[in-house]
Amino acid sequence: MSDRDTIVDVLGKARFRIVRNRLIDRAASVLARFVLAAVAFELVGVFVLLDPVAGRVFWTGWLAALAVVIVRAVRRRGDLQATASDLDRKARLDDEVLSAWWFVQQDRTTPWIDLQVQRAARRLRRMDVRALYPAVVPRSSYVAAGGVVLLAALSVAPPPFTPTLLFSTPVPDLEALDRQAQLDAIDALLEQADALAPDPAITEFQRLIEDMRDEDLPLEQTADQARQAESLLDEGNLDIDNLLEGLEQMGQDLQSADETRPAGEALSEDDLPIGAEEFQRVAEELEGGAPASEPLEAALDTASRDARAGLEELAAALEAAADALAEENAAAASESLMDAAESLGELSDRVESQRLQNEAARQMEALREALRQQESRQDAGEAGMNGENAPGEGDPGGEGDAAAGDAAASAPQEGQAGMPGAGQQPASGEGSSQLVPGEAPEGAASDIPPSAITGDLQNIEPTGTGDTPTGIGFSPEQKTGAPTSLDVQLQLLATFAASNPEMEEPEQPPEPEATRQERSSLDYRDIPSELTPAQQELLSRERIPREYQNVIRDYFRAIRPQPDSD
Amino acid sequence: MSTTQIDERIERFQNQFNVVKDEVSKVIVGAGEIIDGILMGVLARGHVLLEGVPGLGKTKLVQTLSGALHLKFSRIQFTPDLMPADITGTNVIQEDGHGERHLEFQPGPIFANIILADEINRATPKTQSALLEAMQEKTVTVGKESYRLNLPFFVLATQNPLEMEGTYPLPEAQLDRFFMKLNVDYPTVSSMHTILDRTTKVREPEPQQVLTGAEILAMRETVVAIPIARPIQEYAVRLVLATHPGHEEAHTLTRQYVRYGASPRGAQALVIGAKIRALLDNRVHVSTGDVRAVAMPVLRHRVLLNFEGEAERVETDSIVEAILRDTKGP
Repeated sequence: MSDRDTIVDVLGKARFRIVRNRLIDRAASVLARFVLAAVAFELVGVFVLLDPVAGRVFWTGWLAALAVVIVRAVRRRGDLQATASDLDRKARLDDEVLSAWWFVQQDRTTPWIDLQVQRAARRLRRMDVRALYPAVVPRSSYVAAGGVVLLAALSVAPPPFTPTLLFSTPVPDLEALDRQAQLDAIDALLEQADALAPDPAITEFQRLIEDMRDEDLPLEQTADQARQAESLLDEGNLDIDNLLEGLEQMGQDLQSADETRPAGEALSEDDLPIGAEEFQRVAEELEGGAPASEPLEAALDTASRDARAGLEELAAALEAAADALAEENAAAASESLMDAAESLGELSDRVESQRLQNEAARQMEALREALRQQESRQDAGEAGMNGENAPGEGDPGGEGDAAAGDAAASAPQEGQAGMPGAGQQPASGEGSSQLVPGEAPEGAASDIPPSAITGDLQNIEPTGTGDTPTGIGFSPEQKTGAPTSLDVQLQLLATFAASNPEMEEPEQPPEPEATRQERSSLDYRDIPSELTPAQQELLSRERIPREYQNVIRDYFRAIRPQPDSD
Repeated sequence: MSTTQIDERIERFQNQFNVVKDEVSKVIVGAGEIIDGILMGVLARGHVLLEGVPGLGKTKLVQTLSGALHLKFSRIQFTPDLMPADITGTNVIQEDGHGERHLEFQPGPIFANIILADEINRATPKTQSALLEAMQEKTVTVGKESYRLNLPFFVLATQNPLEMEGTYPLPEAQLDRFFMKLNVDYPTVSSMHTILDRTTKVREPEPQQVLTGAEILAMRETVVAIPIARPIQEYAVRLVLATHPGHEEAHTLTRQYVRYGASPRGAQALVIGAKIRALLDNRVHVSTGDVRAVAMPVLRHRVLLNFEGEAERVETDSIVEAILRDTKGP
């Protein structure tokens, strides 16, 4: 290789390594900054529920900018002169390579130039370019790696630290919400559940799903349908929990005998199929002539006495088996245990069916949440287009309060209307704080003279003499004017009622008790909330810890009206 | 010329340079850089201005150098009443054997190879300017006749920065003709001891003549033969342009404090000085380091301060330092 070729060759290798190192360094640096930006974005998402569109825009922009930076870094290759200069600096060659390369480029030859090129080439041949430009891991790469770990940690962290945009369950896309596909998925789950254990609730749920498939159905109505469907499926949870608890108790009883200990353990762990198999095994052993022990008889007998609702069939089978053993009738005992195994299998199918229904309910809840957001957005969009946000219409709180206010106003809560304007209270605002007699729902408020409500106290007969806020003792100036707060209004009403004995407390219809089959017409979700969207999101995700489920269930059982008490 | 011959030339150059330097160092102590600078000026066909307080051996240094070179030496003590003709020489009336009178040129002290212009700033500008033609053209014109000076020819001037009373600062044109301006500083303690040891004896050391004029001219040929790559030359040009207040590459300090920057003669000096340094370092290529090394003595007297710079007593050295610091290499 000639001196000239040597110089060009070594410079090419050096340039490759320089560009590579610079690219790594640049990419790591850029990646670190971008990852930190993403972490910041995710952290914002922890506290503020960000719109999925914003998330999509951010990540798209993030990837595009990253790609642009990297492509620019790759394309900036650098010329050989810069490489020669860098090589001289690194190897402390006092611009020897730079000079030689420049003369090589000029194609000029004099003895002095030849000597320069010759010396430079000789030095470059001895040079180890790899050692001079080793592959290095830039410090910024550690920052980038740390940022990625943090990003991943943020995504898998439990609530309330789980952001909503990267890896966690995304909020359904409102615009591109494929309602039909989601309904299909829920329907498939229900069909599986129905195949395992047919239930009228499932059939009703499926009917509601069919209704929801209608694209023309208003969003609000669709959301109501979804809510009803969820409540249908929720019914079975209590029964299943009760059933599993009973099985757990029976399992503990069965563990007292060696023969049924495996079955008991399986029942205690809610593993019903294994429990059924164990019952079959014991039955086969008895049929095969294996001697039955006294503890087995006692265990079966004890277990049969701990039966709860839904476990009657299993308990009867176990009791029959115990009786058969007492009579030393192994064949009958075996047959009874086979019945118990069959009963347990059916129970297992019920539990699995309920699990599938719960999953369907969860998906329905997600769908409903998406619909709710879509509805809110539409409302906000319409309000924005129309420029409507009139406080006088009882909608000072924005879109969320509007829906809640409407719901509250439309709710049949006449019994509470003894408080004037109670119907408007949820939609509190400048407009609603000013009571208007004509808007008071029927009840006591309608019997109160309008003057009392509007503060026209001259029309109230003064019956006292103090300076107490009874309307008596007020100066004429003080007696005029509308009440300015709810407290004042209530005090005025109380005073008016006290001074008018003929005014009776309106009869309030008894609060209808919500039954298992009927839900309150006012869903708790429609109660106006001052929570931020992020807080609502976190609350909607919260699950009751398993250790507290029994406590909560016992509480509701305790407050459930007993049949004897009626 | 083969590469081997070039190598030999370089080796010879280094040897001759070192021989002269060693010879001068026998007498002059602790002034290695000054000696290098003066020798570089000699080899660059330039002239050197030495500036320093009295007693630092400036004159002694030049005398020693002339003693080490086999060249004709002449010393001119510049005084306020010194006239140009006292330097260049003049036509005088001579009477021959026939009684006829005619004008005959009497050469002045400038007709030598090495001129020591001692305390050059004590003469009037008129007299100082008498050196202009000699320093650049290497000729002297008296009347209608021009006389060629002997080569090699170089001027070593000294000046005292302290006693400004009755002195005349060198005109810009004169300053620009000096290849370098070297500041002679106080010697170190050890150097002082050596000076005392050498100069307080009965017999002081004397230099031997080790280099002839022809050899100096050959060394000059070697210097100018070294090629310099364009990127390095560009760096030298950028340094010079950075001293030009009106130029886009001018340094911030230049724009603020400089009236005139270095001329193309300054750029020439940078490149020639860098080449000599490269040869002394056994290299056949010039580096930016060489340019940087000679930039300060080459540029410091070519940067002329404006009124603001003079008023704020800005040192031209600090401006050149800033330029060297902020001008990026290739």
